[in-house]
Amino acid sequence: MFSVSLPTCSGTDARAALEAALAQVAEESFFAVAEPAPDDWRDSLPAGSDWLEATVVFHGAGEGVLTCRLPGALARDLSSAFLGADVDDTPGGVDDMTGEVANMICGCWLTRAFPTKLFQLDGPIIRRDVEAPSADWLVHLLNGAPLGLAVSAARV
Amino acid sequence: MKALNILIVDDSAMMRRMVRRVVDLTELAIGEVHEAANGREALSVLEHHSIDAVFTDLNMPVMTGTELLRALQERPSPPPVRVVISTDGSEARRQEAEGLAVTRYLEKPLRPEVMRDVLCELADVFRD
Repeated sequence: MFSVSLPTCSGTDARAALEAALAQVAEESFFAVAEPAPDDWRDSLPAGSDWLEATVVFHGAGEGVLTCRLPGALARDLSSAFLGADVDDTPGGVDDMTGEVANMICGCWLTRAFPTKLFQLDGPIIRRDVEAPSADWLVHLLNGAPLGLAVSAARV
Repeated sequence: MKALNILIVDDSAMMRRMVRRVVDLTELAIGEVHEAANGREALSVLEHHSIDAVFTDLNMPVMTGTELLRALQERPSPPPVRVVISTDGSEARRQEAEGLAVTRYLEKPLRPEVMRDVLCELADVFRD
């Protein structure tokens, strides 16, 4: 699903910009380090991992979709890091955090890859109980847990 | 010293909560802290409360931050200080915000200390 054939803008590679955006969001919002996942990252997944998905549609100078998938446990950890507090008592907080993660990565990526273009981002759409990212997703480890990104750009 | 009344506008409850937490952790004279999930809710808050500073996202449903900023320019009462907090850091968006009298433009991801520094700057302005 990740398109590596996105047109480039200002000489910036779209995939490299996405990786940089993820690293920036991880570090600045969650005090986490993002590193490329090894090929066998699925082998270390706990049995019965629950996956969350947030999809952000962008349009304007270009049109496309960024999708982010992460285990529920990672979403809860990121929520706590984001607020500096336990979020177990916040109804919907983990879903909201998952959407904000996707929103920040998408906005940061578009700014990096296409700095002179104007985009609008729709509100994130959240799904629960989705599959783990497949082999064609960009997967990084955040504090040892996988986070997958996929981009489908119809026109940029 | 006048206590700052603040309005946080973001469709993400977690983002509003994070900003409110930073506000709470400062030792500045903060008065009321209000929240709104979109521009329309923000205008309703502004109708009923005296707000000194608005921290607003741009991409929001119902009424965007840009539409809110335009509406603020048309209000007869003195406008509050306007600070944008957005994932969109593009030059084009920044220029658009400049034309809407935005005092500061902050990019998400937002480090808490950046938010704290902006609050301190605003407190100094209102102290003077």
